[in-house]
Amino acid sequence: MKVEITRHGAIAAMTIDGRLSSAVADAFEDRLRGVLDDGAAQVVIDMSALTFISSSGLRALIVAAKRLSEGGGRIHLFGLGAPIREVFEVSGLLRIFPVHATRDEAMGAAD
Amino acid sequence: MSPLPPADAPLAAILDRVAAVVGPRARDLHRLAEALAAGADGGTLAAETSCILAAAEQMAAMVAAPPGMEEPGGDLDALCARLRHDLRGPLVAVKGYGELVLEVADGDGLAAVADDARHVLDAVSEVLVAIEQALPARSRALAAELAGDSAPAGPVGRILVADDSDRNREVLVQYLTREGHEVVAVSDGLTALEAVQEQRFDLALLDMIMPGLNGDEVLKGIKADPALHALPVIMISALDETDSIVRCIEAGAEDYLPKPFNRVLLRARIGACLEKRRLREVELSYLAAVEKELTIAREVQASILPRRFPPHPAVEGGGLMVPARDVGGDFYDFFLIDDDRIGVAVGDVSGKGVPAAVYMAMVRTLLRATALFGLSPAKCLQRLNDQLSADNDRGMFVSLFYGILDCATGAFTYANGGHNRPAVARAGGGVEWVRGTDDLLVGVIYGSAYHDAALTLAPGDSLLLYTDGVVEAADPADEEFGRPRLAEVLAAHAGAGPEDLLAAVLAAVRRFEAGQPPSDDLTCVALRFRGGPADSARFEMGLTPDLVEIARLIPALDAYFRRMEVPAAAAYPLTMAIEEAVATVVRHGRGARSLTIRIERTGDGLAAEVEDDGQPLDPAAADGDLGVGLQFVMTLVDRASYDHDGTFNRLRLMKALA
Repeated sequence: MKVEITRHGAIAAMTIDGRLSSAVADAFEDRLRGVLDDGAAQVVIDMSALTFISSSGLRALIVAAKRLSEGGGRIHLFGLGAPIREVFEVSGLLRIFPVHATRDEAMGAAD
Repeated sequence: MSPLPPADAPLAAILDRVAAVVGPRARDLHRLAEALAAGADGGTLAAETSCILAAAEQMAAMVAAPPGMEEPGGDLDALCARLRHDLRGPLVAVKGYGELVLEVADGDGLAAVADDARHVLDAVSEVLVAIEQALPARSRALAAELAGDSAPAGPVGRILVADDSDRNREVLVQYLTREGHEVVAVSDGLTALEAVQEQRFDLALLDMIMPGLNGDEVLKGIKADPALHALPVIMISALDETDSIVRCIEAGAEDYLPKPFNRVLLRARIGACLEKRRLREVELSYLAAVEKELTIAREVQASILPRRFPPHPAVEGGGLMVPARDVGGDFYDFFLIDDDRIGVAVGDVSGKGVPAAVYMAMVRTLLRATALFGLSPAKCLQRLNDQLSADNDRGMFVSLFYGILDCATGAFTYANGGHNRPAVARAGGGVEWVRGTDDLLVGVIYGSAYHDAALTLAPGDSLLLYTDGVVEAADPADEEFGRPRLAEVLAAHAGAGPEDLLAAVLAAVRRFEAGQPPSDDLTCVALRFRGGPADSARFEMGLTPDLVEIARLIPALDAYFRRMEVPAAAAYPLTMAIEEAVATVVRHGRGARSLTIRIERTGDGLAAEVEDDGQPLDPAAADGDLGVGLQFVMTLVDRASYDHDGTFNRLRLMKALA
């Protein structure tokens, strides 16, 4: 798994590449925590290169989303492939994570 | 350290040492665990802290009276290993729960509880160190200590000396032997390499310049061999060989000794090397102990799962869980809610390890406690969600599917908190996915709503609940097993019993993985609806002529009589009569292959019928066992009659109701 992060003002834009398995979920959680510690108010995640997400990966996202929500922020997602989208759908997480069609739309919604 | 035990009474001495060295630390731990439990009393962490306290009490008691060490003639090493293992058992529990409490307390801002938990965890480390101080390590060094050698100041070991200078070798051998080490000396590099490959050493001293292979080449050979690379090496060199010394340190040498030898330096560097190696062994044996505890945790996890599906004439079922290497958080459950309703659940807790296993045990207990009130699945999940999410800053959650099967009608009501969609395998071979309500994972957000949905099982239909371990199993090319493959397995086994279905799913997944180690627990529950009686006032059940079938029959009769509100005064003798009649057919089967029991209400009582397809019975000729059995049946009911219609024997039993 590869994670890239760029900052655009208060928005942190992340790209996740590969499998977000239990084995790397802790490292991913640390990266996310780091982003929030740096003061990001909104997070946008590009999931177009994400091929698998484990429950530990979901947990990391949920923990970060809860923390962001205290300041009114959210984690915006875009580029979900069909299998990833199904995971979010079945777990009821589409209620927590807004999903957008394109990067521009996601950045616009986060702004 | 207290004095070392004499060689003639090693075991008693070791036990004394344990009491003297570990005892005070264990009592400290107990005291701190008491403080932690008192501070968390009545709060959200009361259960966990009382587990910690119980384990700490056990620890203190064990140190005061070490368990089961009565074989004085036994192998001392084995006894020490067992004592070490036994002493560590409760510590692993304290550590696991302690880390959980610390995380939760930190997250919830319970600063005092978190501080107490930290103290407890520190005390665990101190007890572990004390155990290592009290028990001899399994290295030769300490075995030598125990054997009563003239005690050297530092640790001792088995040392290889490789030097081509006779004088240097002599000096080193003489000196090291006097220090208590066992020394093997060789005069060239090749022999040195052969020696370390053939024998076990704790340390090698290599001269830099030697005929044949040089010291640095022997070093490279050692470090390149996976079986040897943990062997510490000290290079012997002239002071002007700085560059080569640096190269050797970079290549993995532990240290170097300048020539001519300085005794103080020699002793210090060799002592440091051996001590480091001993600590590494201690660490490895600790890791092995932890690994063993994890195995036990896995077994405990598996043992809290239900063993048998509740017996019911209208439905059969079974469950399967194969844990992955780590302790995971999968679970399943099935239980009778009342005579005709069976609850079925499958869940998958986020994350792995001891926290996931503890959370899983909590979820399962809460679910049972809630479900047995007979609430609808959605109401159960709602309550569970509110309880789990109220204080959950760790962000743990569980995907949970819970449904209730009405065995009389085949109606299946369910709610799905973020879990995989179960599958229904229709009797005809079609496979459908159970529509979800896309409700949220349980434990994430307080107050989330959950919704009931329903489907109907027809006789012969099967329902399969499963976790990610099935659909996310990966083959060597990293492709997922997926739902289409699962559907194929189900379609190919339409009509199979639950146990066969479970075995078929597991076999298909393992075949697909082709030897890849599974990364997740694999859990499935299968149930097959056989169909209830068309009219719930009637009872009908088919049996194979086998005495074990009576175990299935009795609860079904009980349920029927309770439903019909038949008083025990009539239900009890009629149950006995039917049981006896069935047992008679089984014993004197006369070739019977099937048995059917029917009961219905009549105007003045209950009419029961035991039907079998064996040879006709001649009541006049019936004697011995068979006759006694039938006579006994007659005394239990008001009227009995028998006929044979060319295919079936029918014994009819009438019981009047007052």
